[in-house]
Amino acid sequence: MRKEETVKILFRNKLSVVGLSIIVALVLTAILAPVLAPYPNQALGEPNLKERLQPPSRLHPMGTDYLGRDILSRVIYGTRTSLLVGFSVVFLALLIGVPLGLVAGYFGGKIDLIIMRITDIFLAFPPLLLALLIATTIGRGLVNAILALAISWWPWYTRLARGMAISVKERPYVEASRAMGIADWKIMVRHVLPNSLSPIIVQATMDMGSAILEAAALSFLGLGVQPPTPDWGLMVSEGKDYFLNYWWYPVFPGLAIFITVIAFNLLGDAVREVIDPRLRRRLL
Amino acid sequence: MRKEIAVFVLAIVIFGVVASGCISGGNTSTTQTQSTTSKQSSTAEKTTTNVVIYGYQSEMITLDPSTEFSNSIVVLANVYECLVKYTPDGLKPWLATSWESNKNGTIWTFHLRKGVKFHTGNLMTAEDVKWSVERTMRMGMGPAFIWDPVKKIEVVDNYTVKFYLKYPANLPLIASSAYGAYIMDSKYLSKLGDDKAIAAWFNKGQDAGTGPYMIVKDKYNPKTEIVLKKFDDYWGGWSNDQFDLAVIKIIPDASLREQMVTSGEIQITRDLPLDDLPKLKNNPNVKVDQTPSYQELYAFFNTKKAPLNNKLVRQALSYAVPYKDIVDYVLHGYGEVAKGPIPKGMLGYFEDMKTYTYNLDKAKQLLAQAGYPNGGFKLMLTYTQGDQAEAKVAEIIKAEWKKLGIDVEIRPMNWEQQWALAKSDPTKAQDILMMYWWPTYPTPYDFLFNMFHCEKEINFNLCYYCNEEFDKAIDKAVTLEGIQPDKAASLYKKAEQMLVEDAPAIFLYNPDDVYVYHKSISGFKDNPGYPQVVFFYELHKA
Amino acid sequence: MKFREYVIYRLVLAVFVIVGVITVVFFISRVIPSDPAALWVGAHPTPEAIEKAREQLHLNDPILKQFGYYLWSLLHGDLGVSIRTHNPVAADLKSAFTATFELILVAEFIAIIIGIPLGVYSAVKKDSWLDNLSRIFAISGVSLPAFWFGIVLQLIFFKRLGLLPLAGRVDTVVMLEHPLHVITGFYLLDSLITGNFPVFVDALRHLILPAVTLAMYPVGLITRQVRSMMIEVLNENYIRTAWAYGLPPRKIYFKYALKNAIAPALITVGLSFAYTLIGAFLVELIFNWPGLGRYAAYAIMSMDYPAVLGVTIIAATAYVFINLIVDLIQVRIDPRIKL
Repeated sequence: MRKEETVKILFRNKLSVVGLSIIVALVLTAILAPVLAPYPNQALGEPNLKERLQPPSRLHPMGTDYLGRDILSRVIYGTRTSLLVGFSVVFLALLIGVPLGLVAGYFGGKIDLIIMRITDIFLAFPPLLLALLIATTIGRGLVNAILALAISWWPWYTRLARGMAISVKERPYVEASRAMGIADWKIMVRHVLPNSLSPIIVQATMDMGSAILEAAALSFLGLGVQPPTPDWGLMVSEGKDYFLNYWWYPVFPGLAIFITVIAFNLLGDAVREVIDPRLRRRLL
Repeated sequence: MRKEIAVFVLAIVIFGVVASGCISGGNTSTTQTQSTTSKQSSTAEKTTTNVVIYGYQSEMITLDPSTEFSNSIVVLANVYECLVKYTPDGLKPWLATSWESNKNGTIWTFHLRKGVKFHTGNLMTAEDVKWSVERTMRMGMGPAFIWDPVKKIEVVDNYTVKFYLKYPANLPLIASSAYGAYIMDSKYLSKLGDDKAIAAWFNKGQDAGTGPYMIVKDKYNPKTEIVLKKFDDYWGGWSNDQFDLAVIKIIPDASLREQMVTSGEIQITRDLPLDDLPKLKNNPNVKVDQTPSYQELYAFFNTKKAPLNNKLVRQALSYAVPYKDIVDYVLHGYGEVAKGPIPKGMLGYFEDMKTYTYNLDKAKQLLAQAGYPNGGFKLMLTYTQGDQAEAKVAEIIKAEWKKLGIDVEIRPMNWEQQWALAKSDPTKAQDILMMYWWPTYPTPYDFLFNMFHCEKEINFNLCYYCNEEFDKAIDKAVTLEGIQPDKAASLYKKAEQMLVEDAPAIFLYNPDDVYVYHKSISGFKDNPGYPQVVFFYELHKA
Repeated sequence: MKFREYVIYRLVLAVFVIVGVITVVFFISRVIPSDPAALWVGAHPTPEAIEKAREQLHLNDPILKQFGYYLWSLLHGDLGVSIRTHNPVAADLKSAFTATFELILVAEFIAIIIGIPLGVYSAVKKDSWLDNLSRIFAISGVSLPAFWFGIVLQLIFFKRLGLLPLAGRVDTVVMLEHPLHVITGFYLLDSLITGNFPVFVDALRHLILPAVTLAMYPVGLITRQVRSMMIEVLNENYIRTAWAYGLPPRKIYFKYALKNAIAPALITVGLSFAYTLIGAFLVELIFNWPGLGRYAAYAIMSMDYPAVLGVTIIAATAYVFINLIVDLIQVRIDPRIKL
């Protein structure tokens, strides 16, 4: 019943509908990229040296880049990279963060103290800085960028999961199970995890936007996805060297990042209002 | 719109003048501020300034002439001078007016220019030459190795100095080096303490040279700009149309430098996006100067690892590079396809050298001969992160070799990281490494020795090439450079032909040095022997 | 727990966290398969030169010993020497810090003067078109890739309109002709104190674009925060009473309601400060601003570990202490929070 209500409220909020539609469109674009992109080969890196740095035209609606590749095609294929990175980062961060948080919240005491102090250390890092450091250490590339971002991201979920676990722990059925002598890990898997999960998942969905934004920043600094992979952040970065005379080069890929992130944030904002307006007072 | 802003700014300025007048209450300060504002309007027109600004891409490191082995020569070459000046037309007198050697090139005598003053006011003598070179050798850092042939330095009289060598070497060329050959004021510096204390003194933004400009210490900021002021007592004298102040302004962003030079905010710069040069050539406000540099881009093959340990595969891949396209599209024609390992314009460059040209059929044939008719192997290629040209070459090579069935994985890395990987175990290192080389001082030996001479511990021989016959030829050639240049050249040629045949590396291209300068200056001439240096003394107001 | 004990507890924690950060960064940056000695000696070193540098930089010692050296000199206030610039890191950071701080202050100022009124009006006219518009604006603010937005601003205000300078902190020629006597390191302030108006105007013109770019994120945060707090407060009884008394709306909104909504908003401002510190990373690169962000980016990309450590220590310390102060204020003003 609650779920239906949530959906209803979400649909009443026009902005969230807009956000959701954009996200659906993006997912479709990612899936249909080979069909939608006018020049799939160029999108994947094949140079087209004769048509370098052409302004937008009917043939190339977003112009071409420094190797003559169609920017529109690369932007379309870039949807894949972005969504993949955003999803993987959040998913990996959940995988690390949630179990730690549940354990910390459920057991409390020394375990809690140790886990939360480690979390504090990671939270004290200015977000991008840690990801940059890790990316330089383990090397550049798609997978490494995802790892680097996830490693700097998990503490948020640890905090959240810990809070949930603490509140769930006090509920009668959990206390009853404990009294019956059921093993702690079984209680955690059967009761604590399922009952904590939904707000965490909501939070995670909302974080996709920020994850995509940070991944783009990482690529922009040359520490993320590597050429010739089509990636928006990377394209803005390449375009930055040309932007004064070839404005289209960085502008369109950047616009793609902006629209994607805004879509996730529009949806997230609405969800936040429905679930709990104070859920994440400390946005940082 | 412009007008409105001007009015707005004027309003602020007037308000400020009145306000500051009120605050201080004195007449003097009011007039002072007024003069400041009137000056400001003249700044807007930018006609009265007697400054030349060089927009440079990276920060300066140290200022110690003995140890500096990086980009600070952009400053040092304007502040200090060497005994000899290298030019593409041969060696020219600088602090030495003439020099000669004994017959086998082991004793060199330099006659010094008289009446040369250091910025400290002291006169330059042979003692300073001996002290400067000995300090560099003693500290043994950075470029100190250039003096390795020197056994002993003798001061004959105030203006004559003699170098005794362990083995024959081209000492005047060494003495013209852009790194580690600057002459400093020994009387002043030796009073400051030990070598470390002197280095610390330098790095505060001070100098003890004879050059036409001196560093303005209280404006010294190696991260944003370095201001140089003309030295009134310079031995070469001054004319009215030269610049009183010269600024090296650090602007990492290329498009920003481009914008600034076209608008006249800076007067000269380099390393602009090559794609923009055709446009700049048509811009009446700027001039584009193009000179072949002594740089070459190489792609080293890992000759210790299959399949590149097979000479045929290396030759095949050397044929599968569209050299001409790369020069046309990556360099936009600002450079030339390399002819072997030595850049054009230097000793050891041969116009008639037979090298590889783009020929995919030949490549396929050689690959088949080597046992890889359809390619079918993977190669890892590393290049220096951030280098646009290398990035493009890598992407072009990847696309081209795909046609041979070879999969190239491109991995940009920091230089230090890439180098560390190459120096580790060759069987685990990258298959191909892209790197530029330029000489410390312009001798082919610098190229051939560092990159292709057998090495027990890998340093810069990153293709792990080792050929005793080759080593013998170049080791002999270098001793003949100073006294029998023709004989040296023919030995170098023999060695280079071996390299082309064995193909331990792809010789890609020699880029041009491209400077863009504003129409308000003239007299600029690029000297490839002093990379990235703008000699401000040669510049004039146009 | 008494407040004083709580403060001490939090301080101890803060120190622990910062030491933890230092440890993490040190080991991360030292396991990199790279050679700091190669960076130190420059382009074409001989093997002997590298060996010498390795010794000089203690790179041949076991890593724990190196960490010991580092902590020991850190205790003496020495952050080491940058491998890339060969300057003491502390000196590098000092000059970069004021540049960044000036930029952040101006950005936060812009964020506050736009964010608070927008949040208030948005809450007052909840669900109107103005509210929707301001919400879109706020969400855009937090969704903008700063590195891209900076480029777009440069294209518009520099390339297209020619109104503002492209990048940098101050024009070289203006600085040469009107030498600035540096007192605080904040160019705006220094030029104002010394009555150096050409430099003031020039510095201001250079500040606008980067500050606006940097302000976008906090503007979004503050607008959002003020809006939701105001909506809460406007439903409270005393506001209804105020309406009943027939007080003018302006007075009700800005005097009574905002006063109670502002505290959490200020907390957001405080926290966004810490965030802006990082946002400055990319903005400074785009605008060639000689601050901490640019320094950090170069340090990380060239793997200059003493510099990376220095920047991280500064940033993490600022971050931890801003959080600490915000928490303490919250404890002080909100009696509901139990210690």
